[in-house]
Parts: sequence; structure tokens; C-alpha cells
Amino acid sequence: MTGETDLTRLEDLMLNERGFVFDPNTGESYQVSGTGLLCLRALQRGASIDEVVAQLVTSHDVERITVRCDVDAFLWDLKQLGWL
Amino acid sequence: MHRGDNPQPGASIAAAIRQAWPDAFIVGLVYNAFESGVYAAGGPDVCHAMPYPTAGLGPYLTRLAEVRAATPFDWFIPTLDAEIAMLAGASEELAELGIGVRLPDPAVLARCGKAQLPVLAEHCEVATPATAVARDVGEALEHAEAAGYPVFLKGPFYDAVLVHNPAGLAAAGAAILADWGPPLLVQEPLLGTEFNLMGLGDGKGGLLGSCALRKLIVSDKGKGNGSVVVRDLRLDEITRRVMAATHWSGPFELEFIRDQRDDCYRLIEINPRFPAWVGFPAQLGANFPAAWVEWMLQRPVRPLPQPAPGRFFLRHQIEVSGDMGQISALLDALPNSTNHDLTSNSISA
Repeated sequence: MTGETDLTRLEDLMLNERGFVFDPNTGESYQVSGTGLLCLRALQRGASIDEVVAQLVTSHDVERITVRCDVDAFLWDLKQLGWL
Repeated sequence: MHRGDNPQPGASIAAAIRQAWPDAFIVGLVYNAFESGVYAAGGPDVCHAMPYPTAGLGPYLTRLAEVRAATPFDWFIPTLDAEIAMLAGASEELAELGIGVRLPDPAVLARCGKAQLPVLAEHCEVATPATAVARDVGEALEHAEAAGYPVFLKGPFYDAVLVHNPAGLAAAGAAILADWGPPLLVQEPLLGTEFNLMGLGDGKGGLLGSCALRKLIVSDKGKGNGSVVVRDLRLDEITRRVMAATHWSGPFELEFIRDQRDDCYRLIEINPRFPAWVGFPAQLGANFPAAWVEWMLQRPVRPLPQPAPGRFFLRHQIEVSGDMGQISALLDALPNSTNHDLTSNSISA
């Protein structure tokens, strides 16, 4: 009974410019950083993890290995929330 | 019609009907002259005092006939659990009085009652908290001892008290029995977030509409003083199963806890009526009372739109003003034969 819901949970998230995130599935709300917001929006558009990392390297002028570690940590958080 | 602490749905139902039909003639039925909905702007055109359901079906129907003779009306929407429990099965008597009503079948109502909910839940393959039914305090003590404290102690219609030891259970059990009679229900307490789903059953196993909420602010009586619309397909699926199993006809509310142990919804209660928050979706274009009136009038009803997730309500208490003359009028209208105290505590939703 959970599979169908889980597949759409990331794209169902409601985001605004200030990083406010509402999960319509659970009714929970969250605040994410600007970088987190960029990640979420990219993932909602269907970007791959490599594409998300590349976008952050370009926009933040940070080494790729550092960005990759931070993105992996963020993705782990998203998995804990059932969004991935 | 009470809308203060622990609000009832009546005033919101009247407001929603008024929203759809500003010129509708609405008769409010109250148990207490201080029910605030009597005095709210845009509320009922006229109000009448009623005997408590505990007085029995006969006095209740007698009073309804008097009310209808004084202020004719066509349709009756009972809004409280105790009223519906008493009136289910009395549709013919009501029809003889010229009063149209759509009530759940008594057998279906019993299946959805607190005492039989675990059986229905199992049939629908829906999780529900472990619940034992007790005829008296002694049996409730035995069940609680077997389950281990703390437990929730519930009455047949209202009241849910978390008790931590035998003394607390005995006191709470005696109070619930005095107010509502047997049975007592001993239920395992669950930790998690509370969700409510309101719907209109079409009597054929389908739905005319539904709206699901997550409680954001919970009062000390467990009432949702603030809630947000959610959309979870699991809730829709559970509701579909309950409708298919019961062929429920009319308004209902399902109460859930999303158990933090396994993230599963557990069905806590089925209320056979509109909830107190029925006015909220009406503000978002999902006017359940108006749809129900259309349904009762056998007009075609379009499925109600589901309010968008993220819309929320906060319960906002205001002062409504009245005049003691209005209270006097309600008191004067009270039939001497029933002699009820209009200023005593009212029934809770």
C-alpha cells in the first residue's frame, strides 16, 4: 500500500523561494537551505545526482569532492524522510 | 450549535448551507440556551430547545413534532453521535411526522461503533489499536491489567481518558458510565500524529467527496484546533475499503493515528456525522453539507473537489453577543413535560 505513494513523494513536495517545504503526504513542513532548495528542485525536475553535483560546483565554486559528500549526506536525509 | 471549547458541527453545517442558499430557512435544535451558534451572525433563522437523547426516542419525536408545527421544515440533519444512535432505525417514524432524513442503517452503525470497530477493521484489512470491550469497571480493570498501563478508557460515544493505574481507571470508568452508560473500551495508547478524514458516502460503496487533514494543534481534550489538508493515497485506499464494506450513506469522519513505530495508519474511530471542522472545506469549495442537501433532495451531485494540500485552518474563538430575552424565548418554548435544564452542560461532538 505504500509503494505508489512513495514514488511520487519527492515530486509532490511543495517548495517556495524561502526554502519552506511542505510534504502533502504527511502534513509535515521543513526549512531547507538555499543549497538544499536547489538540490530538491533539480531532483524534482528529474536531474541525476551527477547533474545536481555539477550544478552546485558551477554555482558555488567549490571542489567537486566536497559537493559530492554534502549532496550524499543530503540525499541520506531525504531517504530517511521517505522522499527518495 | 455550541462553538466554544469542544465545538459541535451544527453551527458550521448551518453556515455552509447558508453559504450555498442564503435564503434557506434553517431551524437550529439545541440542548442548552448558551450554545453560541444560536447567536452567531448568519446562523439559524429560529432555534428550539430539545430534550436530551437520554430522555428516549418518544419524547424526542414528540418535541420534533412540536418544533415542526411551530416552524415547518422539510429535512433534518442530526449532528451528534448520541442523536444518530437514537434515531437510526426511526426513519419511518420521522417520515410520518413529515420530516425527511437520511440516517445510517442501524446494523451498519453498530458495525462502525467503537465496540465493533476492530472486527470491521480486520475485515477491511486496516490496522486498529488493540481494544477490549468491558461491560463494567471490573471488567475494564481486568482488561487493563492484562494489557498493561497506561491505557485509554473510552465511552460508547464520547470521552477518552488516558489512565495510568487501577485507581485512575476506576474513577474515569465510573464517570463515563454515569454520563454515557456501557460499554467501556480499554484501548492501547499509540504514539504518532493524528489525522482525520471527512467524507460523504453514496450508500453504494462509493464517495461523493472526501477531505483529509493532519492535526497541527491538539487541545487538551484531543480536539484539532488547527489542521492542514494532506493527500495520502493510503488514506484514500483505507476509506475506499471502509466504504466498500459498509456501503455507508451520508456524512462520516474517520480518525487515525499514524503510528510512529511503523508509519502505518491505525483507525481509531468512525464518527457517523459531519465533524466540527466541516466549515473549513466549505470555505475551499468543498461544501459537504450543501452536497448532502442536494443528495437528500435527489438532485444530481457532482463529486466534491478535494481541497489542495497545504491549506490549513486555525480555530479562532470570538465573542458572539445576545440578549437575555433570546434565552428567555428558548426557555419559554421548552415543553413542560420534558422540563430540561437549558443552562446545564451540553452534549459534546
